[in-house]
Amino acid sequence: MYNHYIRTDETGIIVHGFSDAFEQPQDGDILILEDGPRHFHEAFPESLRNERGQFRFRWQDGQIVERSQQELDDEWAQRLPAPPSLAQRLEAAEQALRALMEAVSDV
Amino acid sequence: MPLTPIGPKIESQPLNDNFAALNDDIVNVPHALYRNAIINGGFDVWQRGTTFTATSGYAADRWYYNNGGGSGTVSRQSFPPGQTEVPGNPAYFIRISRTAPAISGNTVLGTNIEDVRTLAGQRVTLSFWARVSSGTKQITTRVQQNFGTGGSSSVEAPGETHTITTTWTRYVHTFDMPSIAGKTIGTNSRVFVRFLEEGLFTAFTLDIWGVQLHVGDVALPFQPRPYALEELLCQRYCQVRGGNSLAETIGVGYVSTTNSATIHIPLPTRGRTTPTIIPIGNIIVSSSGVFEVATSLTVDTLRSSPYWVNMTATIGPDSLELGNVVTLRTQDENSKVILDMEL
Repeated sequence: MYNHYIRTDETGIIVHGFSDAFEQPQDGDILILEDGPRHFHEAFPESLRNERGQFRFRWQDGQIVERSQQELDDEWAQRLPAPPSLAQRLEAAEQALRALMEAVSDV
Repeated sequence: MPLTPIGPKIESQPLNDNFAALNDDIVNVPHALYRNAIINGGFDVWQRGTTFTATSGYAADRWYYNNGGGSGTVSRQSFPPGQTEVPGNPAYFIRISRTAPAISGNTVLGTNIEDVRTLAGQRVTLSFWARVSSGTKQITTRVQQNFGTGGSSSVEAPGETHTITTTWTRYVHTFDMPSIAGKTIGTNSRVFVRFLEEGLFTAFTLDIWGVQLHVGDVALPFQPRPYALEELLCQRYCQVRGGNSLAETIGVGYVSTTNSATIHIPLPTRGRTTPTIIPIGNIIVSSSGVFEVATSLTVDTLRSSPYWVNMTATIGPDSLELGNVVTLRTQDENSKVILDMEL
């Protein structure tokens, strides 16, 4: 039988869950179940991430607590902007070239 | 008109003996190909690799080992073609080389049979071929009924200790598998068949082949299954992608954030459960000219099943373009992904 652990970031958000069938705990990992099944998902069936890839749970007062949708939405809104796509970069280059040509033609 | 016998009188005792033998055959014949409750008892299937040095884990498909605080190697070995010590011209056997002795009792080798109902309440026979490289070694075979999460406490069937010698020999252990009447069966119940080192911990090299467990009090000849069938049975519990060639595709998907991708991996053989992913070596996220080593692979258990895995592959830099197609692949022949669905 296996022990099950979670790992949190500095704010208490659960970023990893595993059983010792697959990896050994590090300092700071939290034991949440002893003598459990082999697979973490058999002990804790919920997915740790949502469809956006955000972590859904935090460790709070000795319990796994689901983060609110508002908290997840706020975090999503604050994410780094995506770098421009190839099409956007091409359009920007074309605009710059057009501006340059117009500037030259004005001389 | 009275009937008159035209032949010799039939003796009833030989008839009874023959009937008993015939009955024994009838009991066993329908199960010939499937009579062995153990999968990969002939050690033909080695999806995870062929040499293992970790302190414990799975080696040949379905076979678990634990060196009990010692160290050593578990490996696949080949029988010389045409050898006659072991019947049936098998290809491989498993070798457990314990170079540093254990410090506690340990499972030298063990396998789980899914469902504690298997063979319950019946007289059964466990048989195997074995040898050691020098001297003798005492190994105990034990079978445990494990009733799973939420089930009754485990029950041990009577064990038997065998003295293994340097000559390939078949060892037999006949016992009564306990009844499960009155028990509560939880999830992931199993029958755990083990070869144990229970005392006098030593260094040793032990070779094992042809492990078989079936109904009856006589060890029937080891019945190999076709390789394709044996591999199929194994793939309910483990599937491996990669490890064979350069840049082998593991799965495909799309960019979900600038540093992660959603990857889909279909399972051609339905697994026992949603797998746990074990990456070995460098796994590459490839998308529109971006090639980055995945820093983590996490199964999305809500959107995965025993026949379809959805997972998130994360990379270090924010270099992926949203919505682009992604291929998850191996870096070289030393990289692979193990989809573990063992009990």
